[in-house]
Amino acid sequence: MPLWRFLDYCPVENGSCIRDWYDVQEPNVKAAFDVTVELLSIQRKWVAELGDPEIGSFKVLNREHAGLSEIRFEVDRPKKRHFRPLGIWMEGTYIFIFLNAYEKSGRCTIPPNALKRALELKALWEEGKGTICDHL
Amino acid sequence: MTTFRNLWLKLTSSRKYREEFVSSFAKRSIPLQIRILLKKNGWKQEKLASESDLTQGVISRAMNPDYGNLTLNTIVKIAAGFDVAFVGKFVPFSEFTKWTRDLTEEAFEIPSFETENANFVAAWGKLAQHGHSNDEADKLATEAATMKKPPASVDDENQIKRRLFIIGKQKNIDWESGQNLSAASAQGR
Repeated sequence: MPLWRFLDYCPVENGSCIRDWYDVQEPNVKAAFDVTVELLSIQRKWVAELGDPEIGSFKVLNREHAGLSEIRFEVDRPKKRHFRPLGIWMEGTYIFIFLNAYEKSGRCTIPPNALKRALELKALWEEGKGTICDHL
Repeated sequence: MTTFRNLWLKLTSSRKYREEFVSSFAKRSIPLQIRILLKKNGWKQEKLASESDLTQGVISRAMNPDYGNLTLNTIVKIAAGFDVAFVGKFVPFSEFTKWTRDLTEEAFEIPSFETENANFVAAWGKLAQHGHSNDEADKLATEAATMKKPPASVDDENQIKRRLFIIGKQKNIDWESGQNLSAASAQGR
């Protein structure tokens, strides 16, 4: 049974950025995303303790993106592509709130400014604007 | 939380999605299991490599959830390194979906053959003292040896006694007399 609860942040009613991103992805990207979330949901610790093997599918961001965390996964067919769903990681309460997502291509993000947009969404959430719903 | 029905609905979206989900699950759940078993055993990759007769580089790649070329041969060697079994099995999607729903981190913390064997020997010995039939003893010993969430702070012998005590409580069996308390109470009425 999952330990973690995943939620979607909706800045406007019925408008989830992560859902909008997910809906236009290819089946292999959707499947890899869903499986990565499934397997994270049963893991107590997402950040390896000293000496333990790294989990690899999660990273807490820092510096100008402090407060954001990203789930990381790749697909390798037909070519290797890197994806980074972004969100707010609430370790103590086992909650992860999805904000949006991007594809990492070299030094670029697709869509551009995805990280800046995630920070804006986080600020809106902190101001009490918008709603959250269960991630399905 | 993705429920059975939510996941099932996603699986209905396309045959391609189903193929990719199964592929992705296999690729990502095996590295997770290796990581959990390494942690449970307190091993480093080098130790597993040595026990599995593989190189540390192969173990490192096997633990990468995004590495897609793990071979069956490598998986079986890693299982042998941990002294556990590996099941490759074709199943219907309903069974697969249920299995993914029931997963927990603890479910991957499986004992080695040596640990299980010690549990079986202890359980069989205890059950034989109370005159249980072989079939019954096998069934109860399997339950005792594989019971989830055993007490962590006791040695193997105490652990198996504790497990048998729990099963005895569940099945209403008094291990000292070997008597089924439900049957005795029914007879007494």
